Amino acid sequence: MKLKTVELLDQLVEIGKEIKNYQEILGRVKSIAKMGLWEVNLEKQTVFWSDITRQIHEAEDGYSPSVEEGINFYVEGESRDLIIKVFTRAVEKGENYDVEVEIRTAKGNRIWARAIGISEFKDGKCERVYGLFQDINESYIRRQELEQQKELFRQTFEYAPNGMALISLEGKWVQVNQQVCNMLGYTKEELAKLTFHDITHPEDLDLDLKLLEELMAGKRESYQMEKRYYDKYNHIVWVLLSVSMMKNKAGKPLHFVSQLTDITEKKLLLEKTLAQNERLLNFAHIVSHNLRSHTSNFSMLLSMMKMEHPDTAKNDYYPMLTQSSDKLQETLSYLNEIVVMQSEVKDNIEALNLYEYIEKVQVSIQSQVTSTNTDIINRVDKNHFVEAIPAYLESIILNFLTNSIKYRAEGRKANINIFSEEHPHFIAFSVKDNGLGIDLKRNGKKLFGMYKTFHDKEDSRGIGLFITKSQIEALGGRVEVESEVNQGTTFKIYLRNAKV
Amino acid sequence: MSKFNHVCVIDDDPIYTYLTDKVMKMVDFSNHIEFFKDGEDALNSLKPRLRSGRNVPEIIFLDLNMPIIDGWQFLDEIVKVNYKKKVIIYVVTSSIDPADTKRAESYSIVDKYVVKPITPEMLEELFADMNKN
Repeated sequence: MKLKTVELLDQLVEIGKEIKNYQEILGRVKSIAKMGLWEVNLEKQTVFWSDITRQIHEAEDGYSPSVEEGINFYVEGESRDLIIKVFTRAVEKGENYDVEVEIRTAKGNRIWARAIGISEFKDGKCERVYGLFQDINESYIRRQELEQQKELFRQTFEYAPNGMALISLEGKWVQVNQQVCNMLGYTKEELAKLTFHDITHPEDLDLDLKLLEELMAGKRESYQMEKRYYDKYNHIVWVLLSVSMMKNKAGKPLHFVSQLTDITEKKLLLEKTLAQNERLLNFAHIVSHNLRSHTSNFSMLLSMMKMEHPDTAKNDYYPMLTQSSDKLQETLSYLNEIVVMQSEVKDNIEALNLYEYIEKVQVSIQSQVTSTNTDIINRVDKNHFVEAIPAYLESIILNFLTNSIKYRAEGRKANINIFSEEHPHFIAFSVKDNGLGIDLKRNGKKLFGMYKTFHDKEDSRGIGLFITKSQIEALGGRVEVESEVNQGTTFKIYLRNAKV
Repeated sequence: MSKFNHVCVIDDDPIYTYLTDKVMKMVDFSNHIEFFKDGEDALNSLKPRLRSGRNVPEIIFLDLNMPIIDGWQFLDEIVKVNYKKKVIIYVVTSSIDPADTKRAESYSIVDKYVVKPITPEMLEELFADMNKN
C-alpha cells in the first residue's frame, strides 16, 4: 500500500513536471505569437489580464482594468461597437467569438488585435468569459496593403486605356481586360480558349516567338513590337505589343504580362501618307525630268529659230512665245524647288545669327530701300540664333522685306520694324510694316497659296510667299500673319531656336 | 579650225540632238559629231574603242533618261572599262533635281553636270573652261 502511495506520488510528481513543461511550452508559444490571456469574472466583476495581454495594451506592470476600462481600450466606432456586440452575445447567448478589432493602447498607439472569447455557464447563467488576445497589427497592416495593391492592380488592369493581358507560358489568354476584347472582338471566355498563336498574323509570329524565347531565357527584360492579329471577324488589327514576364521568387517564369495598343488607324494613315508621298515624288520626278526636257527644247528651238531666221523674231507672236517659254521654265523650277526642299534641309542646317542675316539682306536691297525712302529698323536680339540653311534664311528675310516695300502705302513714309523674341524651342521674329495691309477675312486662307495676289501692283507675284512659307516649314518653323487694311501687316516667323 | 576633233552625244530625244547638232556647228565646236540614241548603242560602239584607245571621242555628252540603258547604267559600265585614253564626260540633262546632281558628282569620271538647254554661249564657256585647266 505504502509503496503504491509512493509510486503514485512519484507519478504525480512526474505528471506535475510534464504539466510544467507543457505550461512552459505554451507560455513560449504565446509570447512568440504575442498571444495573451484574459478573463472577465461576471460574478465578481473583476478582470484578469496576463502579462502579454498587458504588454499588448502597453499598460504598466500589474495593471488590471475594470470591465468598463477594458472596453474603453477599443477604438470608438466600429471596433468598440463590435466588441460590445460579441461580448454581450457571449454573455447572453453563450456564443463564442473570434474577431479582429483595433485598440488604442495606454500609450495612445493604435494597433490591430485578434480577440477570442469563450463564455462559461453555470446553472444557465454566465459566470465568466475568458479568451485570448493577440497582437496581429503587422500582419493585419500587411494584409491590408496587399488588398489595396490587389485592388490597385485590378483597377489598373481593368480600366487601363490600352489592352492588358496575362498570357500563360503556353500562350493562353489567361486574363484580359475589356479593351482587349474590344480590340479583338472576342469575349473574355472566347479568348480564354485561344492562344495568341491562333490569332497572330503568320508573318509576325516568328519574330514574336523569338522575342518571347529571349524573354524566357533572361536575355531581355521586356520587348516591344508592332504586330498584326486577326480579330473575330478575320480583320487585321495592328497592335503595338509590349511584353514583360512575371517570375516567382526562385526566378521561375509564371506568365507574361502583355500590353496592347491598337494602332490600326495610325497604320492605315501612315500607309496612305506614304502612298501619297510616293505619288508626290513621282510627280516631282515628272516635273523635273519629263516636263523639263520639253521646255528646254522649246527654248532652244526658239533661240535657234531666231538665229537662223532673224525675220521670224520680228513677228508679233515671237516675243510672246519666248515669254511663255521662259515663264514655263521658271514655274517648273519653282515647283521643283518646293518638292526637293524637304530632302535638302536635313544635311545643311546651321546655327545662324538672325540679326546679322537681316543686316546682310538689307545691304543687298539698299537701292530699293533708298529709292522708296523706307525706314528699316532692325531690333532683333543679337544673341538670337536660328536653325536654318543660309540660302533659305536670306530668301525668307528678303521676301518679307521686299514684300513690305512693295505693298507700302502711298502718302505715308514707309517703315518696317523687325524684332525678335525667344521661346523654349523657337525664335520668333516679326516683320511689321505700315503698308497697305491685307483683308485677312477675305484672303487669309489663300494668303500663302501659289499665284495668289491681293493687290493690283504690276509686279505682284504670289509665288514669293508660297515659296517662303514652304521654306519656313521645311526648316521646321511656321509663319503667322496679322494685318489690317490700310494700317499695315505683321508677319511673325517662328524658326527653331539654335540654342536648344 | 574646229575647237575639237571628235565629240559624242548620247541622247534619245531627236529634237534635242537635231538642235545640238545645229548649235555645235554654229560655234564650230567639233569636226566630227557622233550621235547615239541610247546607252546600249553607245556602249557597244564605244567600249572596244576605249579599250584600244583608237578613234576615241574627246568629249561625251551623256543624257540621263534614256530607254534600254540609261545614263547611270552607261556610267556604271564605262567605269569598269580599262581605257587607254582619257575621255571627258559631261552629264547633260534636263533634270534640275538636286538628287541627280549629287549622284552625278559621286562619279569621278563625270567632269561636269550641265542642265539643258544647250546654248552657243554654254559651249563657248565649256571650251574656255577646258582650256583653262
